[in-house]
Amino acid sequence: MIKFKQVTYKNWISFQGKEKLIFSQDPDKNITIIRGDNESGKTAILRGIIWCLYGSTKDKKSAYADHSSRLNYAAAANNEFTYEVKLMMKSGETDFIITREAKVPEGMDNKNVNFISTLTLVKDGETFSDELAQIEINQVVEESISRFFLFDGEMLSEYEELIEGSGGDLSEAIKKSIEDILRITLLKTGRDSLKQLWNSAVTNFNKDHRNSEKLKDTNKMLEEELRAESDLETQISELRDEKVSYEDKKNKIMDEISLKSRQRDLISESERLKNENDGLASTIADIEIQLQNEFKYAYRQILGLYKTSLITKLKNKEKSLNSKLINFNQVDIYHKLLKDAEISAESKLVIEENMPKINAEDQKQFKEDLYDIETDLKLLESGILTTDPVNELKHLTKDLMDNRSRFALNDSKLLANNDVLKGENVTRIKDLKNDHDKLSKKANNIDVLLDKDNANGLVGKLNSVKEKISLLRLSIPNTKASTNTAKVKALSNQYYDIFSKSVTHMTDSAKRSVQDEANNIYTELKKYKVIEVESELELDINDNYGLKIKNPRGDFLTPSAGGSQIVALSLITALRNKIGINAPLMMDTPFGRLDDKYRQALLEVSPQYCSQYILIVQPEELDKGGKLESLIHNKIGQINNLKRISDDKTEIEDVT
Amino acid sequence: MKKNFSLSVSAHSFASKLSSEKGNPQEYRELAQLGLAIGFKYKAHKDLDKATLKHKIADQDDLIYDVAAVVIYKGLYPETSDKDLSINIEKAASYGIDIIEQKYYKKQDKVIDWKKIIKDFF
Repeated sequence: MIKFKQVTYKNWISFQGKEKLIFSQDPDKNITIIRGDNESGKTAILRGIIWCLYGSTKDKKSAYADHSSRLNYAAAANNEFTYEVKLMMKSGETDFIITREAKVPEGMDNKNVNFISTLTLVKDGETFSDELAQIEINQVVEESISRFFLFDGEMLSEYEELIEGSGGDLSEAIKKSIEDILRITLLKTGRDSLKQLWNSAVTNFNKDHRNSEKLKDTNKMLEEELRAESDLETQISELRDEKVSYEDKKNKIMDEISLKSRQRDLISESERLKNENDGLASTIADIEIQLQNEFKYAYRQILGLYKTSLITKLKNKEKSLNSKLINFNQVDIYHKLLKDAEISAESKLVIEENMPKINAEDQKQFKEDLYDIETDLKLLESGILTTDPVNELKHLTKDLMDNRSRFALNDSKLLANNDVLKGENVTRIKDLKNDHDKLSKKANNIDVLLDKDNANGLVGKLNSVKEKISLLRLSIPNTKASTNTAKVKALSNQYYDIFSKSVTHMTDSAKRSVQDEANNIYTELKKYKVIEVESELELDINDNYGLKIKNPRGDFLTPSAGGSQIVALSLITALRNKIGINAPLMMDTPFGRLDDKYRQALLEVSPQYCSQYILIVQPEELDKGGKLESLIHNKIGQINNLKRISDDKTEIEDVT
Repeated sequence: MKKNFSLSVSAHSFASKLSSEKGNPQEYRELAQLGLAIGFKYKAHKDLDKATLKHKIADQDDLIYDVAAVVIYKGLYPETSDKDLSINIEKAASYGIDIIEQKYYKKQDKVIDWKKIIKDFF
């Protein structure tokens, strides 16, 4: 029996400094409740134990996959680049103190690559380090089966996939881990080895000239089909491996992309800034050209100011000269009168006495001056602008300065981002995304080839070859073998047959056993749903070890969201029971879609199937002193509250 | 094209700097025209030492003809003899460019301060 005693977190995610969590060890009160609001560190509790045991956080979203995301932010701000999880537990009578620590050596900065992790195990006073410590831990609970002890609400969705029987990658992975637990994988390996032995026995039989030609012909056909089968199986297996490697690579790429989420934000910000600056650069260039064009007319507008006052002045002068010249014109009229013969001498005398005295030279000068003024006026009046380039220049300059300062601001942000990203990461993320897309395409192509409904696909061909082989085997007469090669062939065929049947039998039997166990648990859980007529629904296991709900008429029903979770929980509990290890069951927010009846069922049934039942919940899911809590009140040995002090700090309060 | 319109050393140096900056006049001739428009306002241009007018930048007729600069100058400064007219216009252009550099140029932003020009002239 395995029991957790206590766990201490130091600078782990939301826990600044040291925070201790105690688990109930009382067999009669084996329930430990941990209550916490959203973002108070509930997930950090479970992840911390997984990290302490196995050095990873098993988070699908890779939320705490790197050191910097695990190190408490407040601690990092205080230049404390060290975090640690220490788990004290008991396996049988043996005490385990497991301490996993990660820290940055002095003098180095807080970068992911600079962290150094160490693992120390003290087992009954004896100390083990790193690899040796890990081996000792794995001997207690292997990482592959830890999923049946330490799981969160998200994991229920994974198991729901089994129920759907989608046969996706996740289903395959879970199916493999289930078969590992049930020791079917080993048997399958033995069967495959025997098949290879039979294949070579058939080849040797065909080479042996002492054997009957007629039998050889049939066996040659069989040999060809076996070879084809073997080739197809190899190809399929290689493709599956290839796909697994693609998926691994894809996951690693996604992890890397996720790890750089901050960098990714910076990259997208940089891309936005770069795009904005491209636009700004083009706007700035346009404004600069407009400025250069408008500039050519600005001086004219300024000179226009002088022109206006000069024109006024010249026009006044022109007016005065014109009035003087009118006088000269009048004198000309007098002169014409003086020459007129019809006018009397007396009259001419009077005219002569009264006519203005003028200078012919002055008149000439006035005329010249007037000509000059008119020429100047013409010049001045030409080219007067009707537009307002100076005002336009003022607005354009303001626009230019605004755009330039925005450009400069963006540029400085870009430089700062590039400093963080160190240039190559920008292209690296893009490369990663491209690589991810390429891998997805390759994986999809493999899916098409492996689709069993695709007659031209490899699985379709394999099935058709298998049919031919079984027909050929039936057509070979069961005569007494006379040669050694014939004897080996017959014997290997027999052993292969036996092993094949054993695998089928073992698998069927394991499935039945899981199905029966799951049905027992399902029936127990179902009892809490009181209905007038007792439910006759049963669980039926499928090829992927997924469970479907079946009514007595044999119809498969589609479960509700909560019903689906109950089926998944039944399966997980059944598999846990099959593993045969009595260990704690730690569940992070498993109530998700369950109603009160199913919650009650889970709280009353689950603790019976584990050494400790550790439940991490939101306060409203299991009210303090509420109906649900009162139902299990006498089974609760320990209650801890997660008290969020600030964004970076949560305290664990023992409120038992 | 003949080049017989000269700028002073300092005016030429500023014109050279400006022509290397986008958004500002790219030809000396254009800045000289603005310079004379500004410089006409300041009688002190006449005091500029003729010896500093060393850099020939454009054809004088081309530069001053279309703006009726001579007519304006004679209107503003009628006492100027015909002999001094051309040289005085050159002085006014250089003096005006110096004024632009000192009063109407934002060094940090590398732009001409048109707002201030409007305030002072219009």
